[in-house]
Amino acid sequence: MPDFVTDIWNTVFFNPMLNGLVVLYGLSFNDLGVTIGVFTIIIRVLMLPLTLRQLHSTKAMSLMQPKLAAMQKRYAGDKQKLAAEQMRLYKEAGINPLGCLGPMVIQFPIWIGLYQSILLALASTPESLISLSKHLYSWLPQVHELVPLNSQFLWLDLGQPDPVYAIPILVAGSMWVQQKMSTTPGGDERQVQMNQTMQYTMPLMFGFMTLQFASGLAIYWFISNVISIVIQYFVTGWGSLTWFTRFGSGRNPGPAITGGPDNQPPDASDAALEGTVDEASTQPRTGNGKPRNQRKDRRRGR
Amino acid sequence: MIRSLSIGDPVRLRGLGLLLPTLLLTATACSQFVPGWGGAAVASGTVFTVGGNQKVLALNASARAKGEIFPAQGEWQYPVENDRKAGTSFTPPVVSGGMVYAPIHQLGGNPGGPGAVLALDAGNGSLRWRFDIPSGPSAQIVGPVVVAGGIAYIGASDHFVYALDANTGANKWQFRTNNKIWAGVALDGAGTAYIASLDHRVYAVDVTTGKEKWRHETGGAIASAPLFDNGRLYVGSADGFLYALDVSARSQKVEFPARGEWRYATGSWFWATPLLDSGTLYAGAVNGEVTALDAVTGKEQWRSRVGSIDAVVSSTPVLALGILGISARDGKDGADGKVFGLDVKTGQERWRYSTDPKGPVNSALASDGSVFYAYSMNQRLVALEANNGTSRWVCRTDQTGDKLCKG
Repeated sequence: MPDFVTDIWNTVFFNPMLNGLVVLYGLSFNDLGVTIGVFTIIIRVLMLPLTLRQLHSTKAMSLMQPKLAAMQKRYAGDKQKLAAEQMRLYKEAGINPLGCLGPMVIQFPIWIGLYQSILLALASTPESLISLSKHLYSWLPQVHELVPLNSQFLWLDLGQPDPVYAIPILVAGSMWVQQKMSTTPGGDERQVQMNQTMQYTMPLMFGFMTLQFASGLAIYWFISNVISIVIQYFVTGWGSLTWFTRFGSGRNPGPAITGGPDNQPPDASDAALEGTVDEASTQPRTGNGKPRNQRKDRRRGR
Repeated sequence: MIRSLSIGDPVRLRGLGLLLPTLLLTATACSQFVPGWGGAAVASGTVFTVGGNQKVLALNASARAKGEIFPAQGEWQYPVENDRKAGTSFTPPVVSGGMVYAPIHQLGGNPGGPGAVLALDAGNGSLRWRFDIPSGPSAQIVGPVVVAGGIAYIGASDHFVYALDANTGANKWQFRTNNKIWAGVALDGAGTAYIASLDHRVYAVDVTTGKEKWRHETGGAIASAPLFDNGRLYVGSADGFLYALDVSARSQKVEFPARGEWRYATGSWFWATPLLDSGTLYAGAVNGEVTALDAVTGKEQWRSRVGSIDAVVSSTPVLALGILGISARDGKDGADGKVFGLDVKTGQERWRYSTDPKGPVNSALASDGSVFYAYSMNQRLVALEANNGTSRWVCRTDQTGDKLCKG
């Protein structure tokens, strides 16, 4: 990597994060587990506006799925026309289809920075301790007095993977719940299949990778997932987590967003698609893509 | 693009956003092998090394100068087979009483493996004994073995110092601090061992019983061994100070600084044990500065920077022929290995040697009085003339069989 990129990364992002983490460690009773928890909450609070925007955007897109499916059917032979119509639809609904990537893109450097910070601050090797000395602010003597940080938290050495695999399971489980809640009911079978694959692949992948990572980073992921679940619940309810909704312990998974141009459900009687959208495709769908009313009817024996 | 987005449910887009950084992180996490700094020691014309090649080597200095095929007379390697590895090391071996004591950071080179001390016959490399640090995820060794009075002292990352019988490896006692011990032990020759820990403290311990006599806290982690001389301990700390502690005042818990005590600030971490010669202390700091101080008063005699602003000095200087030899790593990525020869009176640079290919030199140099031996992280051992820095010979220890030291 070119030197100037490293310099920019260190000066603008990594050094403030590392020194902030060490200062926070001092304020958190010299407990790194607590520090990572507080740090995660701070990061998620700062990102809350972006997260909410993402959730609203996701919800609006989910409501748009019947229309998109109908469009794909209608313009199957004309890709250019389809693309133009889809873009028009997004524009009318005030949706940026890439909006959901925002929080991910922002979290990317946070992950990298946090991962580097934890490993460096724990100083598990002489290399990392010497490198740490180069990144701590010389005008902040307190941080020099706090290192190396105590890596013990509960049964964990935060610089090492969890030896009893509890944190990887928690990360995978919380990610599955979050994915399930945020899944858009699919428009066609292929999409439904892909969504379901993602719902299992991502948690499994993260769970597996957490086996390799410093457990400090895994704790960040777990707390971050729990916060995401809470936010998601208040914005959209339990979503595709049908177990909760079936037993009446959760909010209705249907549309929870009202008002505002960003949240306006697309009108099924849109002139451009008139006659192409059937009744079932406009109904809220369950996680497997089936219209909710049909499932209710089956349960009632109708 | 638009079509792909239209069928791209937010879940999938989020998946993409998660996947890329995660793969990057995984690639980083999977490369956890710690190569170690390695190091060299010299005794009776033989150079002993332990380093990234994960072997302990005995090299005949004159045979190396002649380019003879390994093993020449008096040369050996441990373990003998090429496919077996002893493990990496962060400090040079120690030669004492016909034995070579090699501190192994991670036995077998496995990430997370325990540290061990290997005691080898200096003449033929046969293993006399091995002491494995009691297992645990943080049982690695970073500091050197110190041998005195029939006891081999070794500190470990599990917070303990172990006192071992130098002949058998039997554990006589162990002493616990509150953090990793990366420094060697200092001895006063009168029954007290001084132990420095990353917990910011220096401990005075009875060498017979392993019981604590007193402790003194500095403002930062201590990664280097204290130096004992004439009732004083000199120790550098990560709080940016080099301390001169009066052991009598410390045992009486008199407030620092007592009479005769001082501390010297450099604005950077002191990592290495200072060198004391003729009443002058020579100490290198992590910011690349080397300082000469009056050992009694702490008054600065000279201060010199080696290398660029990125240079790091993490080793004790050595002295030969009026030249202060000191190793450093330099460059933005710390990959440039350098050895500097400074005028001991003025601190002016007389010569410098750069490793080629690049390989940082982090451990202290070894000296036989006219030649400095430097071991770099790219597994090269180089013999340098102390007076002008000319390279006498280079041994590639990353080679195996009769190619060892060639190439």
